[in-house]
Amino acid sequence: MSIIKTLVKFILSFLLIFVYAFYILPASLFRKGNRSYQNFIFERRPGGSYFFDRNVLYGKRELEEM
Amino acid sequence: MKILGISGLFHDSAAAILKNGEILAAAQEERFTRIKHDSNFPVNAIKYCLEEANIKIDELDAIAYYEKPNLRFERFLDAYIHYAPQGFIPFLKHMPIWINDKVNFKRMFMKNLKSIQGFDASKVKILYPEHHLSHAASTYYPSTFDEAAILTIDGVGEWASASICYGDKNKIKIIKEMRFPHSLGFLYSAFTQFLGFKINNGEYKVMGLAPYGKLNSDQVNNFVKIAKENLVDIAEDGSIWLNQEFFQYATASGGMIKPEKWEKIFGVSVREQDTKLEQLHCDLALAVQLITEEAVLKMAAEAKKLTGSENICLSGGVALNCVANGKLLKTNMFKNIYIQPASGDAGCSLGAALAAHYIYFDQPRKATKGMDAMKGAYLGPQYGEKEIKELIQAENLEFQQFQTDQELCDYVANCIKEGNVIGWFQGRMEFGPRSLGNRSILGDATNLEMQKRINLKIKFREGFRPFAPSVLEEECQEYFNLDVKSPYMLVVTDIQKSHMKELPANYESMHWRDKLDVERSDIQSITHVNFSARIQTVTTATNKRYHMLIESFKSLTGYGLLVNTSFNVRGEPIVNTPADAYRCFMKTNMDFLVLDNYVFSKKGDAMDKSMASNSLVTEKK
Repeated sequence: MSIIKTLVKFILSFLLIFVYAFYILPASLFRKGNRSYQNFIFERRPGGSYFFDRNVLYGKRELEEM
Repeated sequence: MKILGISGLFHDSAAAILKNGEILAAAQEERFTRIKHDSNFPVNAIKYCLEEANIKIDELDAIAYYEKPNLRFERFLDAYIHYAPQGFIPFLKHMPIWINDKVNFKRMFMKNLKSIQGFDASKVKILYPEHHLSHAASTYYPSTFDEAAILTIDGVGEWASASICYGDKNKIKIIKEMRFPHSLGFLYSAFTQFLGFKINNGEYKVMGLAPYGKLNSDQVNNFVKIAKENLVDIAEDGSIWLNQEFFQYATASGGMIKPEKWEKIFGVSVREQDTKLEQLHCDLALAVQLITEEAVLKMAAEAKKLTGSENICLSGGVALNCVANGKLLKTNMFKNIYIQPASGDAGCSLGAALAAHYIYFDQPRKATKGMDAMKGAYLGPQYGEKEIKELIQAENLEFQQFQTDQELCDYVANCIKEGNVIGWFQGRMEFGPRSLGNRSILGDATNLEMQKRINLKIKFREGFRPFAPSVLEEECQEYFNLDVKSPYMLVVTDIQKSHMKELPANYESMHWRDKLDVERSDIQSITHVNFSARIQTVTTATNKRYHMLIESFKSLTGYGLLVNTSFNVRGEPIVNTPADAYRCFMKTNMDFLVLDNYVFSKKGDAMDKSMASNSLVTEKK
């Protein structure tokens, strides 16, 4: 059992390294094009705001989505 | 309409249950498992809620989980992308856990529910309100307001770390939010770590340490300036930006801060846990407290501007910062303020259920007038004669049993007057982090030694930490500069000048620890070194027996208030059962334990027989 567990861990680690090297790192190079880029604020905004506008009246749909 | 709310899996797991909008029960998992801030799926809390409400899990109309797991996972992954290559090792370390627990969330969720009772997932709707909606719902819906601005501030939910919402009848609209990694809660936690305390646990200690800092001193002003120049930018609307060059939580790279960088800018080493605290640590604590207050007050002003409401509801971990709450109250920015007593993530279980009831099922809401819908926060389990008798039998205990509340309260009040410390265990357990007179350790606030004694010999915690008073609501203004109710101990204010004592001329220049020994007021044990106190006002409407006890104490001493601290010792959750209470009692130097109307003493024959009346039963099992 422990051999199987070790094997699974090894495969998982390999896969994660693969994901990091071939998805996360390249994506980070083009992060400005990433859909989630707008969620981050990387620079100070002197005189500005760090709030995001939402203006959402919560309804059924907002509670159903996971 | 029967709805179960669940929060947890990160810290402070909890459950709450509603029936037709009425809050029937709520409890934190830690109280059952005895693991502080327990993050496991709240199996015990759910079982308790279902039993208390007499509802089977299949009879529920919905189960509401307090956040959106997919959105949280998305944020987790995005943070690695945007902060790469920082976080490679944590990515490898944490991702398998996330894949196991979080990606397979639904499977894990259902499996746990099935383990509680035979659960048919097709029969019960599972809902996922956003984390900050859960916070917002937890404070707005139980409040007495028909409409209100809602401000939620914590560490982080899915993306949001703070939000400004508006509640109107049964609807909640989110107007603005602040997003990860910029978070006031995380900033406070970062300073907590820098000061050598545990994150998610030591924030209260930082708040308690801040009054020892020297307000307006060069050192404090300098620390604030350094923080603002390097770590944090506070916008006029209260939103903040944290300079990620100084933090490492975005990619979970071990701890909140980059220690070397913090040490360099502040010229102070990271304090190791349990090493000596110095004045500069107090000044750092004060600096972060001042920054927090500035951001909270500005955010509240923005909420006022956006909603135009005269009412505000607060929730989220930062809403447990009673000093900031007190400052907000003093500004008179809002006519009415309501703060959810379980403002941390545990309260989100309740908020999730309330959001499901009012938003998903569109149930009408009528705000309760006069008193909120939290039932004094006494929403946890109650234990009676059966459990107490079992304990007496098992431990072969001597006890005295009182037949009337008045006799019990007169006896206990006399014990307190004589300088004894009492473990007071009554009725339903409180929901949230505060003990409000049902799971409390009580003492005489006028006793000069009481603070030191309870801190060092009973709670086994740092001697600098202050204690809070429970005061008769009708007596509150006699002692404190507070003209509103504070039933949940969430507001700090000053004591009245008439109770202050003159301080020695060298008070300000004293070593910070020596200030504790200076007689500051005639209610010394609850007067912090800056003359502040965190108030709980007590009424007969929410806790009749506790009110009676304080009244009895008043008739003996002239003082209508007591020291009230949570019934636990350092590192342990607040007691839940009579057996927990007895264990805690035996481990500490408490003098008396009161379980319902049974009184137990460590003093053997020292129990004052002159107090005994005809109705008093004294027994030895």
